[in-house]
Amino acid sequence: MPEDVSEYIPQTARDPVRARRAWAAWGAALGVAALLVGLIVAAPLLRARGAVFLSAALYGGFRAACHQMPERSFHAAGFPLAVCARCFGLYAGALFGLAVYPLARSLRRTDAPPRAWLFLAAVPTSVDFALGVLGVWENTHWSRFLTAALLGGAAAFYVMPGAADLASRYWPRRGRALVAVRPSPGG
Amino acid sequence: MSGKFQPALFAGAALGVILVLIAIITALVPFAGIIGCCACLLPIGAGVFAANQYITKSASPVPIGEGALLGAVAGGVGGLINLIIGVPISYFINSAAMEMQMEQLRQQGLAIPMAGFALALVGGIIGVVVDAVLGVIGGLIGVAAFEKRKGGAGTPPPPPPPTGFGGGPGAPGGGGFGTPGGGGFGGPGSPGSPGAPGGGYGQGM
Repeated sequence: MPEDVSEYIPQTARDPVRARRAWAAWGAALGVAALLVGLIVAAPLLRARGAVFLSAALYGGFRAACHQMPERSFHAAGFPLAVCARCFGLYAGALFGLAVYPLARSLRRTDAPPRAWLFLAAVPTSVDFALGVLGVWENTHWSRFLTAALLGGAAAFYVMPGAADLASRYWPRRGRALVAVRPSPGG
Repeated sequence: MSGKFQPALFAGAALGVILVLIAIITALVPFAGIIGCCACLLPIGAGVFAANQYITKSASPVPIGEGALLGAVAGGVGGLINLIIGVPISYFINSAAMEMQMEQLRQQGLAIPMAGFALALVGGIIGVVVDAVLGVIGGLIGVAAFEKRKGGAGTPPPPPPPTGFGGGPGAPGGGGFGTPGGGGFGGPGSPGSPGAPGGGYGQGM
């Protein structure tokens, strides 16, 4: 016997499962970004506390991703961070961008902003780098950090839709979203 | 080898060669460290490149998950090449200086359970993970920025196949939600119920 029409669950209604997945994706992305920033800051702090092996392993881990020149890096507890000021800006900016993402955009959106914004966000750090290399402008830790943080923050707005889309496609589906209805006899 | 991973392997190989070259040059020439500036952009760039190449070659829209996978492969392969070739070379170039530094630290009373090549190896392994994570970010950015076809990035995933909620494939007299002869809710039925009569929500004609 067919169910009453009042039992119908509309397909366009807010899907709590999808929302939960989007929040989980955001949490995972934020966690990875926080972990990377934490490891970068942990390297000098561990070194200062005498944990030389762990500290050296972390410095070694980020060596391929950064020149690690002390004179171009922020210091903590008297030792340079595991990456330079510009790279730290990228990581910290991405962490900040991910943290504020839900305030600026729905987590369930899986479309990225126009790519022009990403290229535009790369302009300040490129100019800062180019002027420094050409000797026109003597860039500072903070100019490197802030211009790179802008790019990192913008990149978060391209990473997060991807993470949300990944979660919506590949996260194992649990619970029931549809109500089964027995077909009526004879159609 | 699946053609899907060809762009990622190519990007990873290119990344690996660049990382090895940077490792060798910076080990040989101490003041050349600046060439490693923004090296974190290299794995991200490899991921973007792999995604872009795959999108260009793919006939169908590329879902963003594929971009993450391609980026991970590109970053991971690049990191692995650096681990296998770059880390040992730079260690052997700098081994004397590194050992001396470790000896000084030991004399200061600091306990170092592992040093030398083992330490370089642990650092290299962490580096592979960092490169893979950065590659994933690059792959995600690559698909988000370059895949503009319908059905790729930004398209909601298809709903799961209906289970018992909908009619069979157009059986005559199938019920429908007020539509005579329609297939009912949920479309033409799932492959698992090919012979089901045209059921539906509500009464047919």
